[in-house]
Amino acid sequence: MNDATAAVPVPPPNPLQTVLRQYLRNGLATGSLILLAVIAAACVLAPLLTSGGPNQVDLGHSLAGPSAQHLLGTDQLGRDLLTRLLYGGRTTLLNAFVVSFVAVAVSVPLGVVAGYAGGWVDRVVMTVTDVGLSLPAMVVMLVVVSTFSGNLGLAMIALGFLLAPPIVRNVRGPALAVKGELFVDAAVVAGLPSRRIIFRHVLLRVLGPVLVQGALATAIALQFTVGLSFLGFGAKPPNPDWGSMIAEGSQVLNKSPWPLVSGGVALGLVSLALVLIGDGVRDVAVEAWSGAPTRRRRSRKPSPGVLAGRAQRPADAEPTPAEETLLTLHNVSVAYSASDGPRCVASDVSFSIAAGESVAIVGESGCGKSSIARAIARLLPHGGEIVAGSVRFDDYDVATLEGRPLYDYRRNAVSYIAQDPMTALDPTLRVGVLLRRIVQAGDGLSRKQAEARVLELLEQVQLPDPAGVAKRFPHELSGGMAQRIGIARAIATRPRLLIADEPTTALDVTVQSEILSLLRSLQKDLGMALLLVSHDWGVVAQVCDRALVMYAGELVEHGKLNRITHEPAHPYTSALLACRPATIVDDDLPLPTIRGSVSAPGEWPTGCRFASRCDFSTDQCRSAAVPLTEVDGEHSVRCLNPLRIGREHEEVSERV
Amino acid sequence: MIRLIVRRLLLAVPLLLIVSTLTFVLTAVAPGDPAATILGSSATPESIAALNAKLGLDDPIVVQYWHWLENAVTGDLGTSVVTSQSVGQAIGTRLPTTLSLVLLGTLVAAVVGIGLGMVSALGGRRLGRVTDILAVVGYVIPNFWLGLMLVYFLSVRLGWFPATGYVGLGDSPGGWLRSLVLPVIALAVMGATAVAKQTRDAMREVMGREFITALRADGFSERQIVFRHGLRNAAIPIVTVTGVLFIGMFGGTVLVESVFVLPGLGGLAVSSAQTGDLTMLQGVAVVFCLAVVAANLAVDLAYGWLNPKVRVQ
Repeated sequence: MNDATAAVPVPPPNPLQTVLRQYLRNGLATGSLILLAVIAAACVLAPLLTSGGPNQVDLGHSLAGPSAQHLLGTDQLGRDLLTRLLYGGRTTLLNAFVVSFVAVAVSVPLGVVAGYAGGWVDRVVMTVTDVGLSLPAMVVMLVVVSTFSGNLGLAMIALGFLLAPPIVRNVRGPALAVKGELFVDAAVVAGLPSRRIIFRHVLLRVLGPVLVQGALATAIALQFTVGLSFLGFGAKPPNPDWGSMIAEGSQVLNKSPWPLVSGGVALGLVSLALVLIGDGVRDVAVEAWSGAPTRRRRSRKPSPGVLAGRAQRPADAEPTPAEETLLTLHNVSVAYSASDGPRCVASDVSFSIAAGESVAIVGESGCGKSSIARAIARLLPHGGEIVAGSVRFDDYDVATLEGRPLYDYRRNAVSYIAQDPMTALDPTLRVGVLLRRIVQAGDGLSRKQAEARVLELLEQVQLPDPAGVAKRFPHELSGGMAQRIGIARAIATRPRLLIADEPTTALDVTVQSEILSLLRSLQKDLGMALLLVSHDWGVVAQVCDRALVMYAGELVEHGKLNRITHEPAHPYTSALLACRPATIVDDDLPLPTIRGSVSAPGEWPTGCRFASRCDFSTDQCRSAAVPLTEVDGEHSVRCLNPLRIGREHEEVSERV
Repeated sequence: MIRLIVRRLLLAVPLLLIVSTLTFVLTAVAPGDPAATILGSSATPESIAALNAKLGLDDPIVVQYWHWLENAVTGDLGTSVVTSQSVGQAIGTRLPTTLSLVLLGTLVAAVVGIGLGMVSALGGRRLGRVTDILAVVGYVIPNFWLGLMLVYFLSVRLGWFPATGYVGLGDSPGGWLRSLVLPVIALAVMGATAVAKQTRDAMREVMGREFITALRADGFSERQIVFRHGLRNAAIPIVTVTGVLFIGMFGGTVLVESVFVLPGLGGLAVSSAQTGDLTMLQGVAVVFCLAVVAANLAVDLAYGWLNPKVRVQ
């Protein structure tokens, strides 16, 4: 190999053996392969396994049931059904394999060339394929067998062509995909002739889909050939094949079902084996060779017992319920089910929100802030659950709500604004229709009244031309318009708490500010409480009065926003504040970052979870869980060596 | 949208040309002489030549094809040389049977399949597994064999339904339905399981999307979300597979009509194939192609209705 080819990035090594091993681990697929091999071998070896041949007539044992002498019974002429089945299988199975061989041999080159060459070649091949897909295969087959009566081989070749179009499509896809991959470009640049590229890379990638489609095509071919010979276009009597055996069975159906059952079961078993082999290959080979996404992981429900121990621990800090308190979280833990058991993403979170108040949850991604927000709205994704603690909203015991009360709570108490406003809209509905349904669902308004209310809402969120916007579909909106509609939707039900999960992250900076001031003014005008989830102190400062800082699933600091931004007590809060772009005045210094990264849920240490990234950590920090302690009435922190309180940390606080 | 429909209709032209050309070419290369076959063993060379001239069979194949095409455009599909019957007429009398069978079969498969798929999508893993197994079983049981087993159990053993035969809808609606129950089941099982699997997969995918969460946040009940939003968004793949199975059922009628001795197009195709009546077969093939074109067009229109992005473009 010369230097140029040696420099080509090598695609992942051929995992043929790995794939085979994985396939064999699938019991059903392996069993199917064995079953198919046994049936095929038995048919091939029929003369050795049986005596007397398929056409030995014994009128004394006409239509006998299964017995030791005739394992499957006999047909009307007393011929042994098992013998006929095995001899017939030679014809039937051979025909099916010929058909699928022709189908694969025709379609693979066409599919590879279409996918790899692209352009007009692709268009011609795909048009031909479209036409082929629309041909009535059964009638075309009848035309062929009727014209060339007796020449079944020709008919099988024709059938192979008829079954080719779906395989062409399935080969073209991976060929098209592999063309765009880097290592193929690299091979072209390295000067490898394209013939070799096709051979080495493309064919390997399409092998999986071809095997899958080949197995399915064989199953379909089997049904076609059996169907044709059932209609009388098969083996010439008295020679057996499965279709003619089923036809003979149907003649004597009122006397004995055995001839019909034996033929059908043989056909069904082989088809079943082929389909399961195809499924098995799809599971291992298509993933390994073509890089298709893996199957969804199995999920288990978390057992509440696993985390129950946490709930029994004494509260870190009792939230003091004020008289106008709207929402209170008490030692709330949220977990998702994972393959190895429930995985906690937020633990022992306690705080409260008063009516009309505006509170932010701040933290890096992965710290559990969205999970807490979604838990409050009871909108955790599938597998997520409040596994410990309580959430009280007015009179609602939120964690236990189910059915009608849950729907009422979501409708009347809280509203939720999602991060991506576009994906939150049903793509098939005009936004006006969606809003009308929301308005109508609870208020019992007439259609006219509801439509008027929708326009009023759209005006409230300052959309120009409300009537025009109401007629649009989601894909006809800009991101900013979509988020305004998200807000209109949230206030449509007149909630007492509005939860906004990174409401401006997906938007342009210029639109961000407009959306935030809209949120702020609506919150004030309508007297709603607001819970804003954000990683951006700038966004928080524009809207909120109070902040909760979360780190690795824990609340590490909370208090008035003003206080926290000016006198952060937790080193993490301080570091987070230092990373604000607005605070950086000296362009020559490198951008401040927090070294390391948040440890993933499930890998949290026993002690302070920030210790490994903290400049001030001591052995004591790592030894035991750190409680949340009050700095003063309105400010709490989870730190053994809080800033400003124990010591001065000039270096950090200077910047903030 | 309009471009899509035009493309579909344009594809229909080569499709019909290919099918008819295929049968014509096969007639030309087929061994044997149709006139000799019709006249039997007593035929003289003169009488054969006379009949060939009368039927236009001594013209070059291209001329014959052109004549056929000219007539086909006006709806005249020719006359069978075997039965001397007008192909158009033969098809006309048999079309209602096949249409009843295919339309009822599609309806049953879609209703049962969507119901089963919804239940398994929303009912957890075990029900999903059941649908998987049913889909494989439905796929591997050939419709004609299933039909025969139904005849054995429900007609021969229990006598609930007639084993064979067809009653026209106009003659007796009850009898019509009774005569179609078994054939429709035989045809619909495979389609129903395919629809169920597709529905399950599509519903699972849709129910995991962000807008479903947003609808929950609005306070809609699960039932409202599933039926008004989930199913609507999952409908495109379901409609696709329903279209495919409708087309497949026309092919299925060839075997099922033979099993139940129904006077439909499938049975006509089989008997024509047995007697070597290519003119008749050609007519049936053209009608089947038209059904494919109609089904694809219906599916495209449904896409436009279901997916606003297609509609606007």
